[in-house]
Amino acid sequence: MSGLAVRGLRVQVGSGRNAHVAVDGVDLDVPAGTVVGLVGESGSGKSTLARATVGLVAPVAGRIEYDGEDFAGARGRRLRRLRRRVQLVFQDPRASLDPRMTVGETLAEAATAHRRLGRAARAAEVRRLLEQVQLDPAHAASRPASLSGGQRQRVSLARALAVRPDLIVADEPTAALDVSVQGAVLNLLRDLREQSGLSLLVISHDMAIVRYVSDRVAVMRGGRIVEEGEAAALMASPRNDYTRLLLDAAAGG
Amino acid sequence: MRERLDLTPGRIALLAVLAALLALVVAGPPLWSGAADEIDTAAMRAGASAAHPFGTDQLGRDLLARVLVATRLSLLLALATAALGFALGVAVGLLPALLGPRLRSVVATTINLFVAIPGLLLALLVATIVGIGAKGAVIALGVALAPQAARLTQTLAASVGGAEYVAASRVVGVRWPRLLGRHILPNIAAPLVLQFAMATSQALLALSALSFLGLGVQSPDYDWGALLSVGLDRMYVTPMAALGPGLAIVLAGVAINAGGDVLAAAIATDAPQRARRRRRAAGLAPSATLAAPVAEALADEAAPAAAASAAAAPAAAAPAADAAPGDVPAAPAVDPAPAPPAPAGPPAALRVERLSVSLPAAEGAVTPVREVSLTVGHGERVGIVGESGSGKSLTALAAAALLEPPFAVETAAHEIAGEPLFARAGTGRRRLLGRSLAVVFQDPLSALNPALRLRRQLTEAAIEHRDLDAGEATEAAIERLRELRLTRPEQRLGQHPHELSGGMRQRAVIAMGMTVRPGLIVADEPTTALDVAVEREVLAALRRANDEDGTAILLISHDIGVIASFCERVLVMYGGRIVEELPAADLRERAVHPYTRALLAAVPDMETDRDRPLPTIPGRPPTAAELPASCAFAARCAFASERCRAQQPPLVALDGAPGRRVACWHPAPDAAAPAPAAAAGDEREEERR
Ligand SMILES: Nc1ncnc2c1ncn2[C@@H]1O[C@H](COP(=O)(O)OP(=O)(O)OP(=O)(O)O)[C@@H](O)[C@H]1O
Ligand code: SF4
Ligand SMILES: [Mg+2]
Repeated sequence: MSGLAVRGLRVQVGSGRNAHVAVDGVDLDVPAGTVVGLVGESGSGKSTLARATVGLVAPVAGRIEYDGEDFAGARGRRLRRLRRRVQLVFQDPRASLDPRMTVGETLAEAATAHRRLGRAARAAEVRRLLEQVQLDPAHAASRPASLSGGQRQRVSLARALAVRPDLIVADEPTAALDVSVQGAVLNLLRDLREQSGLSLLVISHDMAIVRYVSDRVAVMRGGRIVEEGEAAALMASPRNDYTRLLLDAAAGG
Repeated sequence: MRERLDLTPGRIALLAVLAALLALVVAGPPLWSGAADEIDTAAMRAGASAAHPFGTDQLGRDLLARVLVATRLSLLLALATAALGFALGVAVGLLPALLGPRLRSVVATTINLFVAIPGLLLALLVATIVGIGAKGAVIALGVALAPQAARLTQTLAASVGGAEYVAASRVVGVRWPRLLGRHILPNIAAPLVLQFAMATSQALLALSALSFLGLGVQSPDYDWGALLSVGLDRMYVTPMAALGPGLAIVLAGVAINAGGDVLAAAIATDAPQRARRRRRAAGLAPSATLAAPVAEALADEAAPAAAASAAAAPAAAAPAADAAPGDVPAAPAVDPAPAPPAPAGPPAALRVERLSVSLPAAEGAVTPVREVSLTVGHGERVGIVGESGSGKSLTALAAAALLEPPFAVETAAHEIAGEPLFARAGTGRRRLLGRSLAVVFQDPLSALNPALRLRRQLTEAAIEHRDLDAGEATEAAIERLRELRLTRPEQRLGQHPHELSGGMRQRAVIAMGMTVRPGLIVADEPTTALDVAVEREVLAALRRANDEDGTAILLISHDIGVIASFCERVLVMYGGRIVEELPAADLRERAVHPYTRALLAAVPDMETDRDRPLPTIPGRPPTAAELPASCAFAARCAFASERCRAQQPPLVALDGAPGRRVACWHPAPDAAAPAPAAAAGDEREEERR
């Protein structure tokens, strides 16, 4: 199967007395070209799952397959190969951009991490990336501190795109943003998917957001996926109590 | 820049000294070594004179010249020592950031082991191997410095290495040399530089001591320490012979430290990293010292200055824009409507008139809350909704009289349970607040004392304010916890806060507030840190307090859904002001303020059309420092006119709609009209700027 397939994934966080199984036997598919939404409460293991898919944390068991190749526990060269295909956008763009680097430097760094680019090609690539996320190319010279939250999250997205991945995992991409700018970032995610056939795994605690962007939805609770299905069908007839609770909450109940 | 580097006159003087010392390092020997080496048998061991201000030594050589010449050797040796120590230390200290977990702990343990060995012992040990003399001293002291430097580097690198931007770079595939060079080292450079300067001045002192004892620099070479030992035995005859080199050592040490401070500050301010957690308002116990946590929670909004100017540009064009904050042009014609009077009966739980909050800032005072008037009736549930930085928390804190300097709070009237707050002072005021008002913040842990069992924390207030005895107070607390549906309340009282889940803690805080049966609970984002299931429990607990005790609730949230479903009346805040007030039932369909309507449209809900882009609001909210004297929403508003950019719209009663107020020059005339959010296309243009 092409795309991401997670099988029986178990991830432990912390160590010693504080060890805790944050992801406890998760199966999840993100077929090429689809947008999968992952919803769940805080602490349900969503972010840990996201970090595991790009090898930031190593699982204790299970498989992380990409296009049929297992990358669980990959290191070095193999890990780099995984990261060429799967990229992660972090929740808080303020924390995930180096405050000392300009936007252009951050993007150039990502663009050249896997490819050699000359000076001119690099500048052109930065420009292209900024345009792709609908930012003025003049922002290449800005530092993160001088950007708004929405602009920063676009830069983070552009950094992920710079690697030219097949799949982007976006962990609560709008949670750190003001409500009045989150819409713009959600629109951008949709556009990107339409333009470039990118697959997305969008993580959120907000059912309405997941509903708006996803083809399929998985509901996570206590480290497990409790329900998964085609978005409209799942919303129309949820089978799990917890899914129902999330839907009620989103409906303003 | 001057302020950021903290350039006091004293510091400038020290920097001048440092510059002079550096000049001496270069120019000292060529200029004065002649005089310094000239043997004058006629003037052996001479006292201070015009020709020899510091006197001469046993061979008649001029001591002042020797002190000047010795600057080079003294400082270079000190620098070499610190450089050696830091080269070793930084290299070893960075290792843990690069290694796998097992090797990392081996290196960390080794560093700790070496840190535990006293520096002097280490230095002596090394000295016995490398021998005495200048080279030996430098190596011994340098090695002795290394463990401290390694430990510092390790700690700093661990904190920066754990930063999300480093993880982000790793994910895109940045390799470790670059990770170190571009992300980790630059971000830990400031404290390292500071420490390096301190190590250099310590090394100077230590080297001088060794030379003084004859273990350091060996004749015919000499440094300040060696000169000091020459001068010391004549201390009483020719004080300057000893004081000269002594002063040089002290002065150089202080100047080097000052140089380090300034350099570190310059590096640190190079990247204005105001690491702030946006969504994490600090929780505060009502009794806690407020200034610090509040400031930390709120410092949050310190402005991204450059982007700001774009958004603020149109507003800045308005004539009155740079008037002092709060210096709002008089509202034309219409008088601002006061908060609607509470219905007859019990007094309103809270009434504030024209509340403003300001605080000193770099460019004069900023006024993040402006002329807010609000009333929470007896037993009423009122919500404040607004974006981050709109002033919700400050309004709540000020209403609960919890703001302390540097915040300056101004009100025309401030009544709690019908009693004017400012008529009372000291204990009377605290009693009024303690009895009539409870506060619940986002983070329950900060409201609870981690060291105390719940029993103590839940009974204290009732014992003080309701004159209950310990037994009765415990009964009341158990009763409260039970009402809030906490399981096994008797046992809970014996537990510490960390033994409870987040939702339980938040309910414990609510219980704590409710034990005094206050007339009002102010809850600032009480559920933002919680998941939906727990959010419901906490809201239900607040609701129960409202239903059963008639406790009024002032609920603050950025989540318009929570506010709409929980409250009876809603206040919408933007840019430090209330821009619209309306019954919660009218919120979704009948709001008239462009901001309220755009906000409602911008948030996807379960009915949003998935095939169309979301309506968005261009630009971003203004920060406290950018608030114009005109409509704060004008830069983002689809209906903004000249008037909007010139004058502040007052908050006035909405014609024919009792209990509704709006602050807008052009409120949507027809509540059923489509929301005036900008089209998706416009938004992009705006954000690009
Ligand atoms: N100590 C401070 N230093 C600088 N600015 C401050 C400080 N305290 C408050 N402000 C400013 O006051 C304004 C209002 O802050 P407040 O915390 O009340 O907003 P809020 O609506 O509660 O936001 P959030 O939703 O993020 O909690 C902000 O623009 C902020 O920048
Ligand atoms: S119409 Fe004018 S006054 Fe009303 S919100 Fe827009 S800019 Fe402000
Ligand atoms: Mg707040």
